Amino acid sequence: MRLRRWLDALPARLQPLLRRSRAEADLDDELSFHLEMEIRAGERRGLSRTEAERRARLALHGVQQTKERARETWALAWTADLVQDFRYAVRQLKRSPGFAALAVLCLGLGIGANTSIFSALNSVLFRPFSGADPERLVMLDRGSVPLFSYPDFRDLQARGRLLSSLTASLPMESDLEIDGVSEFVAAEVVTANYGAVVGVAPALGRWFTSETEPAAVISHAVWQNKFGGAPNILGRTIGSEAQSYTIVGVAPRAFTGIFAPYRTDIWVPMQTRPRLAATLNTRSRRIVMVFGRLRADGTPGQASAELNSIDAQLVAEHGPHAEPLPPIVAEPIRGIPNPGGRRLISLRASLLMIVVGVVLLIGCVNVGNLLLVRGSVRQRELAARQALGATKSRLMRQLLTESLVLALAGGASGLLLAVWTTRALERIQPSVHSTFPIELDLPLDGRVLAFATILSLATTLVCGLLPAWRGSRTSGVAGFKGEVGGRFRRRRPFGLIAQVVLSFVLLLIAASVIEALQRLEVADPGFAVRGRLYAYIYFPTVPTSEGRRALYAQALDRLRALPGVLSASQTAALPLMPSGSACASVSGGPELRASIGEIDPGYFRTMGIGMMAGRDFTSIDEPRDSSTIIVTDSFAKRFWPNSSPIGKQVLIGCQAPQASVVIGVVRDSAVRDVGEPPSPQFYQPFARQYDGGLSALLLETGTDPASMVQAVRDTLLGMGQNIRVYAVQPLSTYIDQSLTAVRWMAMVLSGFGLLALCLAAIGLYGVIAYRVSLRTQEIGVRMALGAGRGEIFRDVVLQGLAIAVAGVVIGEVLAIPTMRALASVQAAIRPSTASTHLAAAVIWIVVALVACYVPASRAARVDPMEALRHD
Amino acid sequence: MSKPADLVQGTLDLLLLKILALEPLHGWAISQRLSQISKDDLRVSDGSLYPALYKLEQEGWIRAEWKTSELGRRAKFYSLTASGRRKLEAETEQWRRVSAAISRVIRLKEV
Repeated sequence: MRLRRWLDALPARLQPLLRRSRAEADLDDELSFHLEMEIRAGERRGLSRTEAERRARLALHGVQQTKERARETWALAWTADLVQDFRYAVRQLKRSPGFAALAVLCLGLGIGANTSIFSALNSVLFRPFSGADPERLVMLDRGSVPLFSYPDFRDLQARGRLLSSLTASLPMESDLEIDGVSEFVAAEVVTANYGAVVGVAPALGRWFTSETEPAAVISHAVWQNKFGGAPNILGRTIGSEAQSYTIVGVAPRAFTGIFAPYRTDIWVPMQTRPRLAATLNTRSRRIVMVFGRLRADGTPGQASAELNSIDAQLVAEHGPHAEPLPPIVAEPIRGIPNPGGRRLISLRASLLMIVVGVVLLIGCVNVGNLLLVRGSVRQRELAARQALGATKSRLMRQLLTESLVLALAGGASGLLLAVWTTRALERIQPSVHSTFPIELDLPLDGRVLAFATILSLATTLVCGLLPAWRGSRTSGVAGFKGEVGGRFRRRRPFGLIAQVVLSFVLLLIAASVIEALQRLEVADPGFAVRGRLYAYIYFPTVPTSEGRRALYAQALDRLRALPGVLSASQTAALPLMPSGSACASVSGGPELRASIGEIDPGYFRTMGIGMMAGRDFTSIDEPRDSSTIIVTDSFAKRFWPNSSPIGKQVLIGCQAPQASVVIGVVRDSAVRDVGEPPSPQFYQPFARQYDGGLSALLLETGTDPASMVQAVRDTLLGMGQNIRVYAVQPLSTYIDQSLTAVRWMAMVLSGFGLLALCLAAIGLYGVIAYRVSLRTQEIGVRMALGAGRGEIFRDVVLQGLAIAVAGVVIGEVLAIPTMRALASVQAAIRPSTASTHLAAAVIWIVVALVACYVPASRAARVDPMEALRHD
Repeated sequence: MSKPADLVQGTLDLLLLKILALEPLHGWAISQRLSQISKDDLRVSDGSLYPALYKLEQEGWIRAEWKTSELGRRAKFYSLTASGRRKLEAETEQWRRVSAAISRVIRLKEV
């Protein structure tokens, strides 16, 4: 019956919606036909044409007004029922503001948390690139290392047909000198066509016109922070790597470089870096990221095929790559263009997405529970409406509309919350290595808004469907008699137990990350951290590598002479920084990948790394043709588990291995992360290959290293030679920074864990309190029959406690596979200790007791006379 | 002379459905038919007629079709749908009961 009418109405409802102009024209035609007929009739009655026309229009109450009323009808047909339901729902909710506020709070917190985490996932994975025509901009990916050598890039550019243009970018640490003050920044050294290929228009000025032009484009952040956003910035001179550049452009705020989420501060053309230009044409140095624009007729798949065939030609002409490489994949850029950064953040964001999903689920169960309880209280009202002719489906729609109103209010408040939390997230992002600051832009774009809306609607269904279904099945007679207790008491508290389970598992997850953080904070990295200081320095204006090495030696000597300095040494890269690796094998044996450490004699002593056998490097190991190496314990054990490695030969290198001789074995120390299992590493003398670029000086101090920072800085600056001194810091600060990401995770996860705990506790409290209020009469009867107040109190508390214990037990079982999954995502995480489990269980039981205390004591205070008189 | 009675809310729908049950008509013809039948006792202004028709159409009780009118001009003809026919039956029944009840009450008063 209803369906039939609905089908009959559909064409009339759809026409104004889908073919508005046609509907308007029909309206015009119909009314003008009417006027025409009416005028003729008037004329037949003897009226003048003008008088007949006047009367006809008057009778119609004006043509425009009639049209307007027709349009209203079109709109109303769709919304009339909905508006009615909405009004009713809002009125109902206004009657119980406490319930409404609690429900909106639960949903708002859940939706807000989800929306803000989704906005991070959105900007990392989904958001189209901010430049022009983003779907034609592709990145050339090559497995985990999307790097090409400059000559390969030139050949791809010259021979490719499907990509209209290619650009290369080399993200690197660099310096920015403004008015003689120099600081450490992240630079992109690019080809001249970079701006055109990437499709980003500068906020001010222009990109580059030639490869050799001494011009720089600065980031919006640098413009604002270093130049105060001065409008006359173009044409100013800055320095970088001892070259002087003219600022020709400012990047737009939304573009933080191709290496995002790491922020780029300045862009300069490739050939303006003499040191880089000198080695740029070495085909084995894969150092640039390559981006291109697809021609209108090309697809990414075709472009990839073409690039790989060119790559095969290059291999045929120039010999194989130094190590086997996966095929080239040209893919459109979504989210963050840098695959490394994308993996890093998307993994964490996905984990957080699951966690906040669970938080929202708990909120939904809360609201669902409250709605169920409310439904049983409202049975009388629902029965009355049914008796007055409301169908079951009408009642159900009504009840669902109520949850929709709640969810929309929750969604709106969640969105407000998300606006605020994403700002906070933008500010507290973990910087991964202190040199490259992370900068994420998290706008609430259409995708995020759509997500929040869909989430609100889904929430409506999740928390409203069951209560609405139950409510609509109210049987008339029982409903009127107000038999609220019976059905409700029989219901098992599955929703409550589920909440306890979910929040308990979240507590365990948060606890295990906190445990991981604590473990890392006290973990022995294998080198000394206390009483150590490091300084990052560089001599940009010295032309030869011999000259630079001599200056480093001089710097070390000056530092050693400082009072309080016990020893000093030098390394190309601090531990935990990305370093090179090489293949190693013993003739005939399997290969293994080992990290390379480039160090100065005395490094092991300064860093407190114990020598297990053999000797340290001396000056006799430094010439280029010497082939001595020192290996770590784990390296030695892999090749010579049962014999001394001293004097043994190892083949180092993947393509053309060189024989090296082991002269010493040292203890393992952390290579990439503190707390990681030992990974094989070997050391070479710093001076043998290094060209004397940026390098770290390490000091062992007899006093607090923080107190020596100024003295060390002054000593180094006192050398002149245009020395650049970047970071001078205690090593402990640096190690601490490496834990930022885990610390951030621990903080966010415990926040969400706490939120989930609160939500679940509110749920428990709400339901128990409702139950007590429904059972007032029964409690009165029991008291009248002689039950003591203590007994009643105990009864209510035991009820809540049983739910908490059941939840904790089930949670313990579910925690096992969850922890296993978590450990595979974040290596540092291990199953929590027994004491953590115990603590989480105790927390939950205490929370349950607190949540039950108020309703239990209210139950115990029931006055039997009062209760029995009730109703 | 007294003013023509305003239509009781909802009765216009019933009248329109009844008129259209006899034959499909365009708007002007409906307005003529209304005043003919009721001998001008019930006056429906043209300004109320069209919105009422649109509402019935949106509810799915009547449907509209463009046909050539007696003057050779295209006009919009309204006719009853199947659910409109059922609606008419239900409304007629309702009207009979209500009007019978009202006249009983009124007779009672006059006695």
